[in-house]
Amino acid sequence: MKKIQLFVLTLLFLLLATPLLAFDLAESLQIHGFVSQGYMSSSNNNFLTESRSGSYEFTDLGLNLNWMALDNLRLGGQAFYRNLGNYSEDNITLDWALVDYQPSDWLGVRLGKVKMPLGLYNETRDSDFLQPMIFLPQSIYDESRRDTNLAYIGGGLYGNLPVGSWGDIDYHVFTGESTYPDDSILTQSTNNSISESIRKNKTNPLLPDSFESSERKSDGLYGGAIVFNSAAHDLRLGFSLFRSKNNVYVNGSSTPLMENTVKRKFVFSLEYLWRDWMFVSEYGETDRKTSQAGKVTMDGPSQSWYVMLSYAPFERWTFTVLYDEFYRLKYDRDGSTKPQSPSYTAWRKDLGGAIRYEINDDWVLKAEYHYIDGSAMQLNVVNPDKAYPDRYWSYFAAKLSYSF
Amino acid sequence: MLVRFFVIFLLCFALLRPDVSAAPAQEFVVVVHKDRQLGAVTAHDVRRMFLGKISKWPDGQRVLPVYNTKDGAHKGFSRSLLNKSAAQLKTYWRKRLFSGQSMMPYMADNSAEVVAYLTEHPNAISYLPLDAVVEPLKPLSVGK
Repeated sequence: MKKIQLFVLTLLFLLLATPLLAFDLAESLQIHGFVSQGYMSSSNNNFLTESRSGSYEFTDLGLNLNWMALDNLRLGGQAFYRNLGNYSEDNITLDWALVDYQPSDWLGVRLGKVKMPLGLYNETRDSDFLQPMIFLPQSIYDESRRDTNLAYIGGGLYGNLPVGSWGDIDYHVFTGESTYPDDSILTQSTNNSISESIRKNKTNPLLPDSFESSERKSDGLYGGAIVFNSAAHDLRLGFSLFRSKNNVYVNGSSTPLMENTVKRKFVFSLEYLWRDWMFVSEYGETDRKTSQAGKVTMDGPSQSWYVMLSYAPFERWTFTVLYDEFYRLKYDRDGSTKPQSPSYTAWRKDLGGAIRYEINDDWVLKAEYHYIDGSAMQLNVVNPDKAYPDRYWSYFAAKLSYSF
Repeated sequence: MLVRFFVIFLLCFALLRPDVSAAPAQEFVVVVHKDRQLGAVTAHDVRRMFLGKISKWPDGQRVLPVYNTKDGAHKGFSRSLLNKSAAQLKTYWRKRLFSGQSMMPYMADNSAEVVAYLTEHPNAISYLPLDAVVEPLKPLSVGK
């Protein structure tokens, strides 16, 4: 109830404040924001929240401030609030906050908490009202790992390079650290895994006797992205890559119990706009290695890809269809290396359709339906009442968003 | 369950009337302040200026793109010069804004406001219907 009250109060504030504040307080200072309220309902399995019984705990709120301090120097930040059931940060966080110095078009520097370039849409994933669908394709933009891949804390170089009559290239390279909030699905999944190992342990002296707490710390992150923008057509071709390492410390120990290495995570991207059509496809792999108490529990690349087609026959309407596939291990698509679990825990195949309606320049209404085969991607965490989530399941989501 | 969702989709259709605009796009010209001295400018250069990818004029001043969004020329400008529908263009800038990549460009309410803004800011660039170009603005010759 408290969350709903907070949402309503914030919405009222935004509605009342919009006509009062010009938001371009001066030419060098801008304030913008958004608020979204959604509803989610699913059959057979929960998705991200307790969706089987229908959930209105699906609220986003962002407020950003940009100040062009000098011709080449910009300071900015965005406060973000998300309520997505028990598995989200139910408080206000800093989505991004940076100092951006750009002495020339081909070279700029960003320092602070900066959105991570991964695929074509990771940097804008919190502004779902700008996307054709509420949820980005989950194989590449896994919502359960949102907090980890959202932004880096560190520094990056970026710029735009012309390539003659062909077009131009955007690039962004970075180094820094990831963040791991305590109440994310990833943290919950890790804690469940450690607790289970302790419960079953009989001989491994590296495992503690009980589980009280865990802390995941980043131990390095670096990567980059390039995007080619065609001059002749609205075509974008991209490649992004990062490597990272993090350790999990249990019960305050100074020795890590888990070590996680993303040896290579990459995404190839293609986006083509033609008149009122948009075609997007991305392919990615995440080659990772996880060891727990001296034992390797995961080693190999996952595989992700999707195709999405959007059509806007009228100015304010967009219709979208999506087919999205994820395999936990690229070389074990049928899950045969994990015979203790049902085979369908090795994949997730998602067929979705969405409608987006721009009520006016500020308000957007979206609705979508997904039919899914498979339960990979942390689905067990939000379905603790089942030994294994169901193979076939579906979900419906609708969201109303206001931005200014 | 499937039927219920289908009915909701249909209701959305029935209740929310699409905003269909059949008005033909007006012709436009790209304009700058008359004091701005420029050599040959290609359509690709102008496109990159309006998309925030060229941020400096040759004399080092900041390029200020100004969108004349409520004028009839906007759709034609967006489609023919930027290869984007008006909605795609708006989304492009909002994505940059909310991801921390840039600020929003100036959005004028009408052609008179464009003229006033460019008169005051000689480093700005915009577009107007052919018959709306007045002193101190001049059309910019855009090559292929």
